[in-house]
This record gives sequence, C-alpha cells and structure tokens, in this order.
Amino acid sequence: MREHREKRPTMRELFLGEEEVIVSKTDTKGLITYANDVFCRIAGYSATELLGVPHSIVRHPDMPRCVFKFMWDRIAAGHEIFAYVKNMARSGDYYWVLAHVTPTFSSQGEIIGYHSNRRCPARAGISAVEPLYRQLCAVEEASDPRTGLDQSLALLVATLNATGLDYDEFIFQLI
Amino acid sequence: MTSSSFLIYEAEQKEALLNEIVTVCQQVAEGNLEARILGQADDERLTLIADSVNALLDSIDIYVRESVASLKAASDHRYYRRSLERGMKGSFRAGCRVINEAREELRLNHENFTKAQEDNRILFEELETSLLESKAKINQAISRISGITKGMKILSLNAKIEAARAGEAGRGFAIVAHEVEQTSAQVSNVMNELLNAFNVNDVLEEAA
Repeated sequence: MREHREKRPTMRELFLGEEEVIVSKTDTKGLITYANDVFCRIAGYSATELLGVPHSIVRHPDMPRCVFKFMWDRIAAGHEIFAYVKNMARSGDYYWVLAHVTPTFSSQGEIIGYHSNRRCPARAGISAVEPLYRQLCAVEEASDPRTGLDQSLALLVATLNATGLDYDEFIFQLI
Repeated sequence: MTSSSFLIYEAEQKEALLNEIVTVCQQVAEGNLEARILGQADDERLTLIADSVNALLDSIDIYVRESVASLKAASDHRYYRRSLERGMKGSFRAGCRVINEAREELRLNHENFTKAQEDNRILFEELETSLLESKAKINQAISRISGITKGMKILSLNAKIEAARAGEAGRGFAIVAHEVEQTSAQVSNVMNELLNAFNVNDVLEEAA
C-alpha cells in the first residue's frame, strides 16, 4: 500500500447518506477481513484492495493517535465503543463518521475479531470533538511518539473526567 | 491468455462465486452472522446477489448488535444507551424504534420504582420514630403503675396491722385489706402481660 502512504489530504469533504452504513470486519490484529460496498465507494478502494490490509489505511492525519489507543483498549477488553472519526479516502478527501466498534465473540466467549460500522455523524457532534482532537494532536506532535501518546491520552481522560460523565454517557450526548 | 482460456477462466470464476454464495447462505441459515461473500466475478447479476446478501447480513448483524447492547445496558439501568436508528433501513429501523420505546418504558418504570422505594423508606422512618415515642410513653406509664401497686401493697400491709390492733372490731377491715393486696397483685400481673404483649423492641425488629 505504498500509494496510501503517499496520499495527501485535501480540503474536500465526502458525505455518508442518512441511511447508509460503512461496514467492515477485521481480525484481532485489525486487518480487514470484510468491507461492504459503501466502504469501497466512499474510500475509493476495491474490496480486493482492502482485504488483508490494516484498518489504518483510511486514517486521517488530523486524528489523534490516543483516540485509537482508547478505542483499542476498550474493544480488546470486550466492550463496545462509539467515536467520531475523521477518515481519509484514497483521493485524500476526508469524511467524518460516527464509528461503532464491537468485538465478535466465539461460542466459547473469546474475541475472534471486530465489527465496525460507521454511520452518518451528527454535525453538532463533529463540532464538539474537532477542537478537542486538534488539542490532542498538538500534544502528540510536541513530544516523541511515546511520550506524546501518553500525554494526549492523559489529557483525553482528564477532559472526560471534567465532564463528570463516563465515556459512553459523554458520547451518547453527542450522538 | 488466449480468448478461449479467458472464457474458461471467467466461467470458473462465476462457478466459484456461485458456490460461495450457496455456502454463505447455508451458513447464515444455521445462524452464523459472520459469514460474508468475498469472491468476485465479472457477472452483473451474481455481483448484485452477492452485494444484496452481504447488505442484508450487515443489517441483521448491526440490528442484533444494537438490540443486544441497548437491552443489556437497560438491564444495568444505563438507559442513555439507545438503539441507534440512524443508518438502519425499513423494518430494521422500525424494530430499533420499538426497542427504544420499550427502553423508555423501562426507564420510567425504574424511576417510579426508585421513587416508591424512597417513599417507603421515609414512611418506615416515620413509623419507627412514632413507635419509639409510643414505647417511651408506655414505659413511663408502666413505671407509674408499678409505683402505684407498690403503694397499694404498703397500704394493705398498714391496714392489716391497724385491723389486728382493732381486734374483733377490725375483722371486716382485715378482709378489705386482703382484697386490696389481691387487687394490687392482679394489677401487677396484668402489667406484666401488657409488657410481654407489647414488646416495642420486637415490633421494630419485625418491621425491619
């Protein structure tokens, strides 16, 4: 996926329809095992191109890394998570989604993969998280990757604590 | 690739996709919602079938995940976790709405139940306070009665002494003094019965 690394973000926004959902499934390492037609269309990749590659293929540089760390910690512990995510298509165009990631369990109760669906986000929710994401990105860029991630994650947790709500309650106010 | 070998390749691809569609449909019929059709072939109708089956599976998958998550949250009293209707189509959206209405009912029931519990708690506290007050009043009355019966015993003893001193003339008086003593003993018995029957401590413990 050399092409992916070279792509440059544009200022053009793409939009998901109200009744559309981007669906993908990954294995426990985050490698895509299924991508639906909406995913292929909006991200600009064929299903064959998406199979077996990391989900980060659509990651936008405006997204703080701590948000993904936060998400991974939650789903790996067996919980669902909702988050506003800015993604980048092959063209470099961006699209905002309300991502909902849930673990898939085997009949023995072990996590065998993850299911992610991305809905058309509420604009008010995007306006609420955008300044926070910018702040988190600035913290991450100010230090080396490891320290930056620790510090931005701490800032994210502190921001949540200040609201007095747990994460789920906080995000459901923005959905 | 020659044109004839290309045709054979295309036919094999379609055959493989068709087989995959059959396998996935069978897996889904067995309740496996993880199966998806991943193969491709240069055939418009087969591609449409594959996309539609996948889209249907995605809808069912999301619907099941949403329903499970929102109902599980409701049973933990986390009523803000509604089933998201956005992105759902037709009957799936309608189903989400019904779940949300039921969830709202559960929330209201829980609110009313919590309020009723609080009302009961206050009522019990009031009852407890008034029982304790009654107990104190009864204790006061009992100690006063027991003072009176003691007085009556002394009174009957004095009357017996006076009757003895009066000799034959005091005989009738001695009978009255004896009756007074008997009466005070009866009052003591009744008082003990009352004490046992109206044990305020026991009443409180049973109510708790």
